[in-house]
Amino acid sequence: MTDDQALVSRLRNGDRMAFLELIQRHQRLVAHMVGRIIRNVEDREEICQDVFLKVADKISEFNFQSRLSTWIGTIAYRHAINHLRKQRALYSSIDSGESWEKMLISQDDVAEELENKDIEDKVGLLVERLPEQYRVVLSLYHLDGLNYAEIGEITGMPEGTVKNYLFRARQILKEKVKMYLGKEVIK
Amino acid sequence: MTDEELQSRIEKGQVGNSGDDLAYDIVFRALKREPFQLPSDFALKVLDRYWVAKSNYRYDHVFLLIGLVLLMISCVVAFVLTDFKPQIPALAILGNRFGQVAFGLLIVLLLQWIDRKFVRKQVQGFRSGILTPRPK
Repeated sequence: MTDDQALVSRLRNGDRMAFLELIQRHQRLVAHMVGRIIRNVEDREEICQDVFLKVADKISEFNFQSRLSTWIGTIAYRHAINHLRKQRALYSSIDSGESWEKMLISQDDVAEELENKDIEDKVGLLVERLPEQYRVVLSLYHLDGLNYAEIGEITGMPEGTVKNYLFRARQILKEKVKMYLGKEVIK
Repeated sequence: MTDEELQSRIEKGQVGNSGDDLAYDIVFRALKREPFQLPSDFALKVLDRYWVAKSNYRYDHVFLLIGLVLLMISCVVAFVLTDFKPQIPALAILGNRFGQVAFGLLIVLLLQWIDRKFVRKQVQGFRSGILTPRPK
């Protein structure tokens, strides 16, 4: 029996400590996902709690076809996206063309706005300006160390799209950093 | 060197001296930063919410059952005390049209099911597509 199977079986038998263990093991993944999708800081913790309540509620449906972390990641992704849709705030569709890319790259005020921040903090804020699909892919890849297939399973995107989003997002951020570094040198 | 090759090189930790290398290195390091962290007592908070919800759910069912039993008892007591005999003309008419009543009920249930399964989801999707603001 794998570690995941043992944990799920204990949880199904109503073991309180098993649920605590499950939360502690996967809270970083859920926090990354929710943190990347939900911009409103006050909502984030509550949404993370809701995700785990949903996991406990649906644990009887988990059939070990995927890794437990991938299954929890999928629940977190869908829950956060649904929340975002309900809020209808700050939600931009990836289908809205390339306009947001141009906007992000050409926006001069971004650099001014970020004047007093450390360069890596600045990149963090630039990431916040990307559409949520890009943010999620970046987070799952760089923070949670998931591969393209696992990211695709969580988000429902084809592997090629995941790879493309990852490449484009990093390229856009690089361009922005180069612009910023250029300005620094001129100063 | 293409951007794709550059990205995979930086990922392996091979950072050169060009502007692109430096910029990518900063980006890759920044992407390793946590966007937000949960408080240390997060797991305990979830556990508390879970057990409160579970016990509330159990109490809700107990109260519902008690309520139904009391309602039935009071109904029987009321019938006995008032010597009530059900003679409602409307019900008598309906009794002769069992097929129509059953058909009507089925239609209502079917419409509810279609509404839940297809219409609401589409309306929700339509609304979120139309009303979501684009980035300024």
